[in-house]
Amino acid sequence: MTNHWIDLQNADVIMVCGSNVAENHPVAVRWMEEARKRGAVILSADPRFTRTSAFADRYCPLRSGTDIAFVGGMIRYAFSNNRLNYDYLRDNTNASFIVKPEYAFNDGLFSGFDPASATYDKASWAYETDENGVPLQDPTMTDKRCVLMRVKAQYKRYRLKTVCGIVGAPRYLYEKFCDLYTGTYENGKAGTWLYAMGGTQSTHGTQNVRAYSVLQLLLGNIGIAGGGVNALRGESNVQGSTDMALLYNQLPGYLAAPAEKDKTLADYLAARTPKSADPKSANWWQNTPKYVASLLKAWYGPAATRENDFCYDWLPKYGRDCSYVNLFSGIESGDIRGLVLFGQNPAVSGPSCQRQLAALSRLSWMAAVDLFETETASFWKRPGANPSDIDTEVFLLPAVASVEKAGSITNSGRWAQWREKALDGPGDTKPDLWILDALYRAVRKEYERGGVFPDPVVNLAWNYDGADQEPDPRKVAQEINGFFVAEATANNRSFMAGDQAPSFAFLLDDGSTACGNWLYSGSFPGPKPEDNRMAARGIKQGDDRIGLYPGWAWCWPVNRRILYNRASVDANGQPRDPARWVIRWNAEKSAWEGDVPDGPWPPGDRYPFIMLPEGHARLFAQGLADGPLPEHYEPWEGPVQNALSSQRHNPLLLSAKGKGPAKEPGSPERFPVVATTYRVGEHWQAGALTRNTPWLIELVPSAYAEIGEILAMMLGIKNGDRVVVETARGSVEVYALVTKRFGTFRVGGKILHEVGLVWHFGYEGLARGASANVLTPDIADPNSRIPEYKAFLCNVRKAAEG
Amino acid sequence: METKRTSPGAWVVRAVALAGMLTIVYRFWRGLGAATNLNDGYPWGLWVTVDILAGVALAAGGFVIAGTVHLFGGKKYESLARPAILTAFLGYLLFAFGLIVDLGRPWNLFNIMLFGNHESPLYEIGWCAFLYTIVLFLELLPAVFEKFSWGRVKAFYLKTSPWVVIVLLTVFAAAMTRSTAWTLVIAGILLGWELLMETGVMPRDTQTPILLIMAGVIFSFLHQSSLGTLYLMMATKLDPLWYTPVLPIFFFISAVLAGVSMVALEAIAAEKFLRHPVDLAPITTLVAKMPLALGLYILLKLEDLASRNVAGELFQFTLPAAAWWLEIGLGAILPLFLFLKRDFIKKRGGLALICGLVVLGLLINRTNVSLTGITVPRWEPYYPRWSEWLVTAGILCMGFLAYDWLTVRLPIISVKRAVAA
Amino acid sequence: MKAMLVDTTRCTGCRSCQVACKQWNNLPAVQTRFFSDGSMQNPAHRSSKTWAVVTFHELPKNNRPGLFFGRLQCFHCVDPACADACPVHALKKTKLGPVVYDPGLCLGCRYCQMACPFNAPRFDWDKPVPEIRKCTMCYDRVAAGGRPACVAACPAEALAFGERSEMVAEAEARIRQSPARYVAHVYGKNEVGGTCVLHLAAVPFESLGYPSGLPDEPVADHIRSAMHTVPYAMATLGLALGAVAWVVNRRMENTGDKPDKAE
Repeated sequence: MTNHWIDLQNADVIMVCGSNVAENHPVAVRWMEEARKRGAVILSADPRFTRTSAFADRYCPLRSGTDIAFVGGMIRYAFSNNRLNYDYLRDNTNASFIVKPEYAFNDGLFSGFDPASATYDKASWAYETDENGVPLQDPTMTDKRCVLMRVKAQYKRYRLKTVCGIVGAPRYLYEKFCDLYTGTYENGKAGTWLYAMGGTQSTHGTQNVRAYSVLQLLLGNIGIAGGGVNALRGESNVQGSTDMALLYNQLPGYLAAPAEKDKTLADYLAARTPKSADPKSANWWQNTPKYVASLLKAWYGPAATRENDFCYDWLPKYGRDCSYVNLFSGIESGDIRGLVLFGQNPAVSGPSCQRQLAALSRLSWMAAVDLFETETASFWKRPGANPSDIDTEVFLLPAVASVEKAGSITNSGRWAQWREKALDGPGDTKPDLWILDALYRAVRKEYERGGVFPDPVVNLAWNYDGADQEPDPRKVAQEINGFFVAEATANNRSFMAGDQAPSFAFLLDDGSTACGNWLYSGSFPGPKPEDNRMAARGIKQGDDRIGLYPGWAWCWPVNRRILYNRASVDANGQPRDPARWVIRWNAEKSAWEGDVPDGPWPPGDRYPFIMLPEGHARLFAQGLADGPLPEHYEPWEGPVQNALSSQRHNPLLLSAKGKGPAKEPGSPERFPVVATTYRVGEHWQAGALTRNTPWLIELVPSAYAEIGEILAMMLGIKNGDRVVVETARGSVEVYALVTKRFGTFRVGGKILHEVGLVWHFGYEGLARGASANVLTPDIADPNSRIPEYKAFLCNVRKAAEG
Repeated sequence: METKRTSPGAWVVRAVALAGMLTIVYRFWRGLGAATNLNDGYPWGLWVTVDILAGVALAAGGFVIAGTVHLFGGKKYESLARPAILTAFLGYLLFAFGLIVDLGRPWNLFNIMLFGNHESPLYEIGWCAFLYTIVLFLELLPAVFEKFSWGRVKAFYLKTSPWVVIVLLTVFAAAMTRSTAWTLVIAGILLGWELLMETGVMPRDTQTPILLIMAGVIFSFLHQSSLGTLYLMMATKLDPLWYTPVLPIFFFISAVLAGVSMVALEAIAAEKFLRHPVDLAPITTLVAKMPLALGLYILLKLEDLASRNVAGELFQFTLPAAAWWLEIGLGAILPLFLFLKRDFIKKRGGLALICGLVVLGLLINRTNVSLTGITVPRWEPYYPRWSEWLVTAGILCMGFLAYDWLTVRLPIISVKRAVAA
Repeated sequence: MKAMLVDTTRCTGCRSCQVACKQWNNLPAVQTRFFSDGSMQNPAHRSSKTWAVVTFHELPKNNRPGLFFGRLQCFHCVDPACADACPVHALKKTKLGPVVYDPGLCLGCRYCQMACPFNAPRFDWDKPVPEIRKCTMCYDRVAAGGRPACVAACPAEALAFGERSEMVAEAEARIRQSPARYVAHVYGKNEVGGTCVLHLAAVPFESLGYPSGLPDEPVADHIRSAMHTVPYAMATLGLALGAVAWVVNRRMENTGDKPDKAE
């Protein structure tokens, strides 16, 4: 989230699109209700009328996988009704930047497309620059080649009628949504966009989120209270794990992971440290060398010296796509022989999970750390498998639950909150940290006896033992915060060896600081337990003004509660929305007031978007693989032709062929019904916890598919019948929940039906049922590599009796 | 007589009684849910309807006959008194037994006496039924004294029983009102009568303590009507065809009618199955007075419906309307028509038919009030489980067996007495 | 007197309250299969093991799909029928507001179940030593100055707890402030003499499964007049029967019509 949960109370319009916030983030509705008390409108766009829709003031149907059309239509509506925040766009975005003349867009393809490799050469998507490399701008934003006009041209085609014909929404509902949401373009009005897996789990998921961002920037909704593009994370600590390098192509703190081509530290830094010739650009990532050096010092300790590139050579360098879907291709091919799973259950949660289950038996060994024996942990004795045919050695290590261990979790609003242990876990259960610590010590012992390339293992700086000789999460947190390993002066302050770093502004690139994750620097800036700012629980009078609560927990970066808050003020540092100001410049004191600003500089000294080299938010972006502007494509398994171009689905998906999905997509003729998957509030992820909790099983005891009344009538299905849902990947038998809440979609002259399945179920635990992920395709977004769980094609029929 | 007791019918009765008792054991072992189809939507079912509501009403013959004979001077009906009282006594014992089977926590039954809530109609019914059973027992005792020719014991009984009655009624008044004033008023009235009789101002029936009979009538009136009061609480659930503020009065009137019919049916049945010689004359005379009461009952019911503006619902095509017509049609209107036929009740068959219809009408009425007329939204309708029928039948058969056993051993049937004399 | 305010328009049907109730009161889960209602409701009914149920109602509104929630539990009437019905004071209205139960007194007669206009008391049908069970408004927590577990668990603040007068005022204020959002009725303000669980809704209450057409008088009023006639009936009968017997016997004595002698 650019903003945070409590900030939802400041919004005037809350758009929930691609999320079912009331069911999956129930606490959020408290703040949405606060907004509504002030007169806010809550909008819900979703394929089905969810419990969020019930809570919202208005509902608009949206066929799965058509978010870009939905948002694109809103962008066009904003342009044609002159609902753009021009001041905001000029000051804060790249709207006025001139794009290279070679840039073009034609029938669904951007310039630079190479059909053979299905990739883009992105050179033509760059800005025109002056002789110093500073991008050219047209402050009037009227030049045909400026970004704003490019955006306008791109979405000109997204007429109301066209869009409604794609998303399948009645025009009067959609138009009302456009009207209400784009009404937030004025200063003093805030619109927030909430999304989750409905937006991201798509073959154009990254572009979905880009579309939300483009609209929010056009309306001036980024950086302000009650605004933002807010990703509602699907797991309570997934923000934290992403921050700590959940993905294969990252190091902690969103530093890029070294690839094969980054042979030396110098190569790596040269390629990964962005440069800006514009003196007004803060270009924060220019500090990359400090963060990388500090990270390597934290990992390799005394072994890492300036002379040996801080042991950069010891880091693994990836040479290919090692994302989730391809991980299993690696297991299938025998490249990956061992697997450690910490609380993960791919047998239920992975796309085309039958394929993944089959792959597991190719492993030599697998260790599953969990609270219960999950479907993955017991894959070798799953229904239909013959244990004697499976050679994989499986270890099941009992873990404690979240309340049975101390540590921090980082919520969607980026708040790191420290939690103490509430009670001991039962039996031999252990915290993850204990298990990791023991595992590392055992591995090091083996390598100390020798082996191939033992250096990175035996030289790891690893001692987190606390007073009781057990690994202490506080020690880990202190290392993540960072500390001085030698006497040094940073930012005009001198430090002794062993001092905790006050923030990342004090990290150095000469090896005198160590820091496990620069983003979290400042979270534990002292040696004592009370210095743990993540454990802070202070509420001061006035905190409830816009609900920042800076004394409650700690939020990255540097406790900044609303990201990009410099965009909320004008050139003089005065807030565009005086009623709900986030930061403001006090000229007398020559200081900022309110939230922690994006950098300490006085107003006007630096551009507001300090993380980008151009300092301006990108309406038009060179960064993504599949286009500088979001363009509507049908899902990989789309039910119809693309109404906007002849490019049916994301053109980059061609590249996935061969190493991606095991099977060809199902055709709309054979699988005429759109399908999607989702969760319910009563169950948690792959269900290991909740499907073993009788109180929750009572509420949702079995897997089911939601089917609209009309489709059910056509197929002769009654509520509570068993139905078979079949896709090109496989089929499941589940209960049918026949509901008025799933309507039909009038798309391209056809009436389309959609069904939805919960994916929490599996064959282990107290409550069992078919996993919907038997059906989902293992095709992923070309940028994020997130599989397309949310839109595919299926066939539904009543199950045979008995 | 002995041949009848070894007949297949008699063995069936014994078998059903035994099966019923075994089912009761199962009910206490596994809980009410296992033995019945009762549920939270229909927490009262067959047992409450038949064993309690209808059972108590059908035992009303005891106080009606006793009152008629000893208070209202209907001496010609005296031969009916003892069988009726015995039936009532057994009826109340079985009612108590049925209640214990139906109660979830019967071991707490006497909490009514100790910690009772005098505002509750059930509290009143509990006290009344308990004390009335004692009264019935006292009313029956003379038969025992006669059987064993215990003259002195009987004299003692006649001397003390008025005081027992005074104590019972006074305790009851205190329990019901929790008011010293009311307790004194009730005690005063009773003591007044006793004093009047003691001093000879008022003649004393030397054979039957008049206060005992009075107590029987008072207790009966109160709890027969209070069974109706119970349902006044179901204001929001009971169909307006039955829900009326005067429901207690209807319960009382219908109990009197059905109680009398039951006495007649018993006599006929005892003659047929137990070979008791029966003098039908007083029964016929008594039953011949019923049309007046039946007519009054129907008029009252209609007047009540009209005054509450719900009479129109009778003519709608609904289950409650049909049930109402069934109840009144079979139980009141049809008997009334049959009475029109001259000498219809002089024949045993005719008499049995009329009385049977009245008893059936009462059963339907109680079923309507306690089940048919109760609406429980979103709940499957309740139908008794076979085990519920078996328990009810078993209890009934226990009653038959007890009645037979006692009538053989005690001077109950008056004709026999007359013959013997 | 304390009361709960259930604003069903704020409810998201998450059922945290249902689970919190079972957790605090240590109630077992019941076996369910699929869902018990057209939408996602489970279980179908309250029971001795489920004291509160969030009900689901798929009601189209303006020809568009709609999903509405209700919440059924013991409504803790100001003048509860169950307490009047109970012959042994096993159910009692406390001064704090909750209606509480004492199994040590209970006969298991289930008259409370019949009497309650909201069908709140539930019975342990499956136990040989059964109890009447229902929501206690977490009397233990409330007596210690806390809130009921369900109120504490509700993430949407659909449940509120406080003095009944304040809750009534709050409910009325919400209707005043957002007249379009609510039906103009605080369910439980006057129903059967008022309840200590008050409800607000966006659609008519009967469509959410609440008993409708309830009178404003307490249900127990209906039996009170009947019960109050008992001593009068006793006195009247006592006098009348005695007098009749006297007159009748005197007359028979005079006419010599003594049946025992005659026969």
